[in-house]
Amino acid sequence: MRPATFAGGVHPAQHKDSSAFSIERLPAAEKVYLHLSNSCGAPSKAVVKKGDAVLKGSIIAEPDGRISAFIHSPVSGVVEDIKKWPHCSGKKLEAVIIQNDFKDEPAPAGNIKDPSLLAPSQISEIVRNSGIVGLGGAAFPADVKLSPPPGKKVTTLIVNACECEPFLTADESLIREKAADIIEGAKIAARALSAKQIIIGIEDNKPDAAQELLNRSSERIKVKLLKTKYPQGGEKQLIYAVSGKKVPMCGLPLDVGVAVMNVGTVFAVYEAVVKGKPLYERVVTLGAYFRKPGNVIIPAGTRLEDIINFRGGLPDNVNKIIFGGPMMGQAVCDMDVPVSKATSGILLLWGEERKEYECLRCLRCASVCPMGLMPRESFALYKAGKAYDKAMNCMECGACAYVCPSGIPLIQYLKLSKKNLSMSNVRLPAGRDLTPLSKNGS
Amino acid sequence: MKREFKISLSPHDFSATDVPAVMRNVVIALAPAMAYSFYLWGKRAAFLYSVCVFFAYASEYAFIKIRKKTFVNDGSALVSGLLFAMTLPPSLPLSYAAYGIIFGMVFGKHFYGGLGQNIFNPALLGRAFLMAAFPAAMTSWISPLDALTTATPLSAWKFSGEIWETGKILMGNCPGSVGETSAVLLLLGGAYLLIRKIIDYRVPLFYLAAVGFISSLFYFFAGESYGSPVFHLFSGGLMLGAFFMATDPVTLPANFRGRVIFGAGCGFFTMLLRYFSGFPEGVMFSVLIMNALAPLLEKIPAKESFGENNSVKRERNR
Repeated sequence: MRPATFAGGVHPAQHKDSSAFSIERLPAAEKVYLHLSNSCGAPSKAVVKKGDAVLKGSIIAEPDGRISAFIHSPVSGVVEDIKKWPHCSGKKLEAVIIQNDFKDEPAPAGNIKDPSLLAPSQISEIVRNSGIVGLGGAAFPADVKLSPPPGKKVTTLIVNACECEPFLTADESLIREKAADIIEGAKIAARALSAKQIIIGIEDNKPDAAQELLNRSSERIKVKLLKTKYPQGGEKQLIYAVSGKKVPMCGLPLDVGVAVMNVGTVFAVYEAVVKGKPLYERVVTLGAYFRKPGNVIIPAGTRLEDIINFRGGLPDNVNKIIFGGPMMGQAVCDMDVPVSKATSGILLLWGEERKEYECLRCLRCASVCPMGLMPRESFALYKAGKAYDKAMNCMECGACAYVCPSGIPLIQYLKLSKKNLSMSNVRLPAGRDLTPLSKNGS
Repeated sequence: MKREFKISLSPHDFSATDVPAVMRNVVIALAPAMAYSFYLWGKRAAFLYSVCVFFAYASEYAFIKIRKKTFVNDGSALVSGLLFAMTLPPSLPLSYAAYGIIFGMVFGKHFYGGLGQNIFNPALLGRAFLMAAFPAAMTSWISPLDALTTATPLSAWKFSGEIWETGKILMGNCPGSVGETSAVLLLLGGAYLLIRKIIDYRVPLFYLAAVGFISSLFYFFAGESYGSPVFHLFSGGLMLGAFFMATDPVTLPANFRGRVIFGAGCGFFTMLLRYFSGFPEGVMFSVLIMNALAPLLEKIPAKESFGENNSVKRERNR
């Protein structure tokens, strides 16, 4: 049978060399820098102040609103300061800085109950208290996903094990080594959602990891092999590939009775519920030109410079540092930026400037767009001072810009269209005149 | 150790197929048919290719300098020059060839603003100019065997009702334009472009399908004197036009549905002109006609994007 997939997509060089490494642990650094805005939604509120002693796993910040998350300290030590610190977005944002005392004193764990005796609401409460956010990249608070609003029913939990970004192998190595825990975590999450079925979607370029999952599959937990194609792990693409359901434009997976969680997230759910361990560290792929590449458990808040120094220092042939994968990751220029719970990989790259030519109107962008958009329209309409009305359906996967022979930064143009569309609350007719776009905007 | 790092928005990786690579692939695809044209026409072909490529570059360079822009060799002038030369009668005086490519590059490309902006295929526009300026020279053909004046398979069919053997037309050992005669080698190049995804399959597919369909209708219902579908598919400039001229993305509608109509329209006009016009061949004019229609075809609504129709329903339910 041909593996399931979606329409469109690209095949960037995979570079999954780091899949050969098993998971190891990075030592904790002298100081950790925990940004208060480390999840999707509102920044958390610090509950510690300068000089407070903290233990490994103790809460240092609590959610401020529904879409917000708890933050735990990955080390024991003293709060050195709470001040603005460079963030991977390029801004300086409020961060709690903790001086590590290297005693690794753990915070007392709460009482752990048998997960099969917990009510759905209790599970999502544990998930919330453990500070679990989506580890696929968006860092959406997981408990919000696990407690669908009344009237919405989730029948299927889809576990995203695609890891379609080139270079990244953090999820793959986690599956290889912790498949049983991941399955257990998925069962707990499905229990919280009252979902009948669990489907794990995995690309067919990870046969070992897929086999680990297949060995543990059952009537209720299915493993679906998917075609290796970027962005197979895009939420809507994954749902379509495994179930044939199309999430509506501007809609959520909930609208088709599905919840999607990353493998890393369900593993964190397992650790929180079964072992009482909050989320303060994660597996990060250190790839490309790292002197010592690998899949490494890194405490949240560890500075980039510390990570690079622990792994043999910065090679000379590096002019670009990426947090995440090469297709959607963020370029980082400050060695003081710490990793967060959402950082799935760090890549040291040599990036050449892409030469820009005139648009050939070849429509390669449209033929690879996994959302069936015409990315070139955003560029053509921008030149006419207009916005592309369907841009809201764009998830910024970068397939169009990857494939553009003219090197046009299509994602930027799509973002500009989006920005303009979201400024006006009504859905606009195609190509309607909009507020003038500032040339230096986002 | 303060090091500087590059900042850019994602993606940070790009496919290797940039504009020069696209053009390079087109030249690779043309290579077999070009090699065959050297075999057929010898020095004449070599001179025509050189003159056309030289003047394509010269006029592009001059125009870019006049417009005070920087010259970037993206390879499009090379492709235009080669394609233009392939459409010329081998006996055409070299000066005429130079006029044609200069006209095509200047009027067909740079008056519109250069690569990416032109409405008409520059090579075909140059050829249309020569048809108007030097009709006699543009319609006199020589035999590859003895260089004596003769008729192409299409004009033999049109004006004296003779039908060439299919085998000879397929291989291309017959009178015709410099690079158009070997349907098989052009198909080979076209297949290469399709496999490499350099051209949109819709255009040649619907172009050839329309020619095959219309010529079958006439052949089977109106009489054998209209020529068989095989004859029409493999003679004249159809393969060159369908795979290399009509597929020029700049002159296509930026719309997949529009491109289907574009291809089919090319086929329709080709057969219309072959059957009912004063010319035996209609590929050049049919592509130019559809080029003119491309902006209109672009207005056809694109296919809905992913999940878009559900969202309309959602809004109605609320």
